[in-house]
Amino acid sequence: MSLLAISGRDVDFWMILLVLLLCGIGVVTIYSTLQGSEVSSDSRLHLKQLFWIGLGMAAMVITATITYKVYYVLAPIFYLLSLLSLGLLFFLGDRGAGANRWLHLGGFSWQPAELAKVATIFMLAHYLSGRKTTAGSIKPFLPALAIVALPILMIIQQPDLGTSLVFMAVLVAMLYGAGMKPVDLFLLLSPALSVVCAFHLISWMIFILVLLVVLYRAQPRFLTTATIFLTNFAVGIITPILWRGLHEYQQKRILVFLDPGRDPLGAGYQVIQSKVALGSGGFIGKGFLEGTQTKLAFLPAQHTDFIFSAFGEQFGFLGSLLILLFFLLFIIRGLKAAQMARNRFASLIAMGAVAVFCFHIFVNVGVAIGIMPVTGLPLPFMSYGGSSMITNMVLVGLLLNIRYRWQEY
Amino acid sequence: MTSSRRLHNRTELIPLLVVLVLFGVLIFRLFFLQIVCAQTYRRLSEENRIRVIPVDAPRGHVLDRHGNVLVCNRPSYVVSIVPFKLRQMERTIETLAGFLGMESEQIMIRLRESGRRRFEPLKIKRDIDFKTLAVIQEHKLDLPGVIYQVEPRREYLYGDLAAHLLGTVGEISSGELADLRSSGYRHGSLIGKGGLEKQYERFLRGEDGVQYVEVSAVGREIGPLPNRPAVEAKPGNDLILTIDLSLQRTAEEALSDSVAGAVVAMDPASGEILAMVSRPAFDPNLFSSVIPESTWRALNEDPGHPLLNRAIQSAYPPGSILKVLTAGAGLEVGVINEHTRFSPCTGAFKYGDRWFGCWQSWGHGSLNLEHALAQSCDVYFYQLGLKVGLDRWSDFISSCGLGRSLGVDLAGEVSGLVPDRDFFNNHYGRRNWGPGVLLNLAIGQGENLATPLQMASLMAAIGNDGAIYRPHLVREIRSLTGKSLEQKSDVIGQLPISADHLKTLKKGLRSVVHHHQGTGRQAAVQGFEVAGKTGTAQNPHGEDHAWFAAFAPLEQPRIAIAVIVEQGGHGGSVAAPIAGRVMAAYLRGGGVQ
Repeated sequence: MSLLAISGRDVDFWMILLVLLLCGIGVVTIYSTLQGSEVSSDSRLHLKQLFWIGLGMAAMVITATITYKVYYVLAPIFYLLSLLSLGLLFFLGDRGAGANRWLHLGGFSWQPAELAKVATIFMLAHYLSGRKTTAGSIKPFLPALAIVALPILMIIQQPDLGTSLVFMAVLVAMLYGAGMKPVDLFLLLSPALSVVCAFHLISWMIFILVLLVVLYRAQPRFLTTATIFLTNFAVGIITPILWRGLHEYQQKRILVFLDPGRDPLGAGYQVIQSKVALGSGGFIGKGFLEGTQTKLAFLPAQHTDFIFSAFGEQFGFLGSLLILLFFLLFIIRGLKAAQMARNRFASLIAMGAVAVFCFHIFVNVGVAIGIMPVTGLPLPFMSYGGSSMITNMVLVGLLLNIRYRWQEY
Repeated sequence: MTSSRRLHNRTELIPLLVVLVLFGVLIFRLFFLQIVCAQTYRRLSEENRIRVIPVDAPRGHVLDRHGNVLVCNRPSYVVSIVPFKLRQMERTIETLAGFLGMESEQIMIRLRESGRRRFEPLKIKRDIDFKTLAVIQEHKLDLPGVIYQVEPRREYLYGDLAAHLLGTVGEISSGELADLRSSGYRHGSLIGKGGLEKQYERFLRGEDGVQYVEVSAVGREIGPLPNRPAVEAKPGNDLILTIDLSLQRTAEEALSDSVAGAVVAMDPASGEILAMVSRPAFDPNLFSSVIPESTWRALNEDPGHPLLNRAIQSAYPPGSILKVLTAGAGLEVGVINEHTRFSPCTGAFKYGDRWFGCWQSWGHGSLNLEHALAQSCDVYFYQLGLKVGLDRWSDFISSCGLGRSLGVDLAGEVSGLVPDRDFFNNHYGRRNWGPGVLLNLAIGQGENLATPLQMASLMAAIGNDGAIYRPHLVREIRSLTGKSLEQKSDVIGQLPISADHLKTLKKGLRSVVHHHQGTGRQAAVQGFEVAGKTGTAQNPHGEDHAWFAAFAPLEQPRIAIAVIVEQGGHGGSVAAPIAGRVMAAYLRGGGVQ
């Protein structure tokens, strides 16, 4: 119930240890990226990161201490506040470099999208925990879709494709956690798949065919069937039109992802250099501070988006494997918390938090190894950055919270 | 509680599987990158950070026989692009093209041609002036990937002097590069394109050096790579020519700019070429940088063919010069001696039902061999030719070395032509020519062809007791370390004429210049005995070509010369004075060895 009620037995020290290990490796790697003569970043970034870690730990302790019943009550207010701050971006945002992500208020800056992640998880859990899970109908989940769609639409305006997609991952995980059947999940998400397939006529026609088969087998009510089918159809037609409305750099990133060779000096440059860094690290790596790609600044955004490559160049396959192992153990601890929690709200929040981490890890590392488009998502605990560090720590706090209060309803 | 239980079972398995699959994908891919492809990426990361900067070796200098420098190198600035470092390619190239006064498309073509060698600087424009350099330096930040370097540029100190024999250098072509890449040539390498520059390419060209420099992603050079010392460029060898600069100048001045023609002067005792001029000429400096297309086309399509070295690449009917060999044939075959006279010349000679005229329409009267040569009487040599006969005549002329190239150390030497029976059979058909052709051949007209170099060489041989030396332009190849390779003088043949008969011929040639009725009096050099022969080559396309070939002094000659002026008219009045002026300059100047 309160801090005093915590018994050491229930605190997930393993999770705390893993997070601290990853943070520590992150600081050391950030330090290594600042050593080359060509690095133009602030040479004290690793120290700043230590400060962010400290602040994050404080946020983690606070989040972990307050009982989640409070979050349940406050969820709608959080959600509205986060939408408000996202809306404020339209008026007060820092319009630098074509992207509009930062809000400066009261002497410090933060990214409202980070806050929105937590608030949306709360709101979704709040809504979904109050619904009965009835099989065969996807109708109760439409409001859930709306809860996620609002922040996505505002963030995609910034524009930040990667972060918008995080919300999709959260939605899928939490709907699943709330008891939705995979078939229904497929139908719910079918418009998104339609978007992906719409770029290629034949693949889109195959998709529509699969959709029809699934609809026939699942046999939802006529109105639902018609709605799903028409939505998919409309989306498939509108997407190519919207594509032309995308920022040129976004289009380019996606295209270059499909064929990095088409622009080795532009967007594909980042991916090529990242792969060169990782690949040249070999089995045991070039050694700490010996990474030439890192030191000579061939690696772009090496202390943020490409920190995994900087680490992999210096510590090789063994090092990369170790980091992925830490992350895997961390995720498993998170799933364990979701599984153990008896409270439906708490369990859903854990699912959402795990989804955020999974998505970030998979996409960030996926970009570094060239199997994902360049999205600019940070690697949790390791990439330099205050906003993401605090958000991640808050999420860790929630997982710890849920874990040691697992018996509460 | 039951629903909650079910929830827990579900959250357990499927999410865990999804997470494991995702991590499995990442690990599998990392294994592929860091273990399977590690070698490839290791190489790429090395290439990333090491820029190999080639250092051009300076080409060897070209000097005349007395050590006067004719061709050297001077430093010049070249603007290059390191393709790998280019950012915002189109804009950068457009900006650069503007500064250099080029079309963006030209630069794009060069970039494409350079192919995959993205870490090597690619030369865009050579020999830019300081103003352009300053502008580029000023806009350095707008031109990522654009660098400038200093390189040696070929400089021909005397402009078009001896242009044809010195030759030109130019950028290696894609075709040449395909054959020569293994010999150390690169894109943008200079290579000899003509003349001695081409002939002696492998000596003149040094060995390019290499610098290894560690560079950062933005292209800044961090410094030389430890453990990889630079390879010094080795300069090329110097060529010491047989050419005598002052004589070459005299010959250039003597042969007017406004005519087409050639002068070749050589040392009869060695075959060393002392001067070689071809008109019209060109300035080889034009080729040293990237030659503008328009200039190239103008030179190539000029009806005067300025790029042709007429001294060795053009063959003309030798005209009356050949009479000296017809005379030699008569003496050697034994159909005449020095006193023999034929029917007196009346200005024309009737053979069959056709009249063959003498150049002097009022006739020469009765002449002996000496005077027939001196006055170049056609009627005398018609009759002599008929006595010798076609086959013996052709054999004799051929064995004097005509109709074959002499093997001078310049590419493109043509062989000329000595027509024989087979030639006429092949050319006109067995029945379509008669013995009358011999009359024209005997006086050097008709199908006969010879180069100015062959005529100079013939005179040298006559003056030098019949020994034929291989004409050559390079005396010595000297490396910087002082080692040198001397070119020996090879005797490549001997005129099939006995010493007595040579003496007879020389007497006739002397009279050409010294007898008051001689046709070559204008070639006389005060104080020296000159032996020579005029020629007037019939030209079906216009005015006759004027020839003069000579050697001097008569005994122990020091210079042999041939002069041709295309469409100049009479050899005696047009070519002989030019030869006289060149010989005088050489003989009076002492003709230093």
